[in-house]
Amino acid sequence: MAASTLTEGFAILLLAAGLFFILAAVIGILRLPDFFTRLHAMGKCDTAGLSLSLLGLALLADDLAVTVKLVLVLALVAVANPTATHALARAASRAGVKVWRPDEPAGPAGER
Amino acid sequence: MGAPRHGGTRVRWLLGAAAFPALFLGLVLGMAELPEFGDPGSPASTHVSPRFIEDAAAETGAANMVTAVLADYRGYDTLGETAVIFAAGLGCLVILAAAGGRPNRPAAGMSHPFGSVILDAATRILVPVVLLFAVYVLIHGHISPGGGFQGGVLFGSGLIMMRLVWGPAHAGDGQQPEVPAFGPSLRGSLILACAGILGYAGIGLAAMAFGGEFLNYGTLPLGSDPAHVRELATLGIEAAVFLTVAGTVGVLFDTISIGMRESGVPLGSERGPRE
Amino acid sequence: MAEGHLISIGLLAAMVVSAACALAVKDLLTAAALFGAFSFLTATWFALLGAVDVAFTEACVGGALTTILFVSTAFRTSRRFD
Repeated sequence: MAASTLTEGFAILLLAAGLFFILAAVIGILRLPDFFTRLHAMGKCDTAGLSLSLLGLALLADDLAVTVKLVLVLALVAVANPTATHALARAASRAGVKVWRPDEPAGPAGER
Repeated sequence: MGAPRHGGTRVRWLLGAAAFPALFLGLVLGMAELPEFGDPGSPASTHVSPRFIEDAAAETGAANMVTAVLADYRGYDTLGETAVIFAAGLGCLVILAAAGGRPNRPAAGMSHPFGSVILDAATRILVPVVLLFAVYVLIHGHISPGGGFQGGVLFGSGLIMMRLVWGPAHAGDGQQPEVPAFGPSLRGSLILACAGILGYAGIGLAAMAFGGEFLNYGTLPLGSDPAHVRELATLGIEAAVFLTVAGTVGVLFDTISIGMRESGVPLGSERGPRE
Repeated sequence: MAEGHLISIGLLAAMVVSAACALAVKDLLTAAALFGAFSFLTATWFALLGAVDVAFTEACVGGALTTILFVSTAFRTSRRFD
């Protein structure tokens, strides 16, 4: 009983941390001025948030098979998400998306 | 072009303004007449579903009833569906071939290798996993959700991923190094799709040849247990759907993104943004 | 059941919003991305209703494949719709 309570508490902690990172990613996408900074927020925080949430869910799962599947999804996310971010950044850089400078008040991505 | 176009737009707008509420009202009224979701007393739950729920596993050997219904009981419908997908790929090919008498401009950035070490390494890890998972989905469709269609789409997605990262195969000319073929060429995809749809129909005809009806697999000489025979034949059908869908996905992507010249060689070599 | 209803209503509302946005925007790449979002919401809703096979298909076809095909078509033709 004690062990399961400890596991649950740890899982809740992981889920809360994951939600925090995803919230940070959302705030970053809404508040940051241009494509690259938004991608910077999204790529890191999204990967971290998703990974932590998946770890928490894997701890909570009753079935070992579900846990293994969630860990596999975690591995997929850990490979695919940073790669997608890299590909987006590279494509944008090649396409000539302008980088925001603090001395240009109206960012190229359009201030909202 | 002022007045006529404006008038046409207005008529269209009025038509839309009239049609939209009518459609909306009709759909809402129709929804109201439907039995409640999950209603155990509805006709579908009292007449159709129990038959499949009780007998499907024993008759077809498929634990996943959706697979049993799609590939066995309603095999004829699935054949039509597969033919529609094949025809869509063929139509795309024919239209773009007709439009492509002059050299098609390749989609900028989509027909050249992306040229990034990180992406290359990640793709090397991911693509085998995706392709293996596609085959797993195909084979495991008897037991878990999945089957030929989903597996085929996943396989096609893996092929598209390779195309996106590594570009189409082409022989080395002076400027670009030789790129080996990753996945089937356009012609190879087309052959896969044809093999799939012909295989599907062939299994149906084989059932006829052994004295059954078209697509009634029970008569095929694959064993003594009819459920097992049906299971094997269903797997064959699923594999045929898999081939068709994967091939069609390859044909669609290659014709749309790369251009029509044979075996995936990009047409033209200009780079950079269009216009 | 009440929670299921709430999630269902939220998903359906998000579907309507993403579909309307996909129709409204002039940038076809944005429209393709919004349509992908619509497909994933649809898939989630199907899974919620218990139709896992259909949800799987919708996620594969709508979420991944058609989005890729739309994007490549937009690259081949024109990015803007006026």
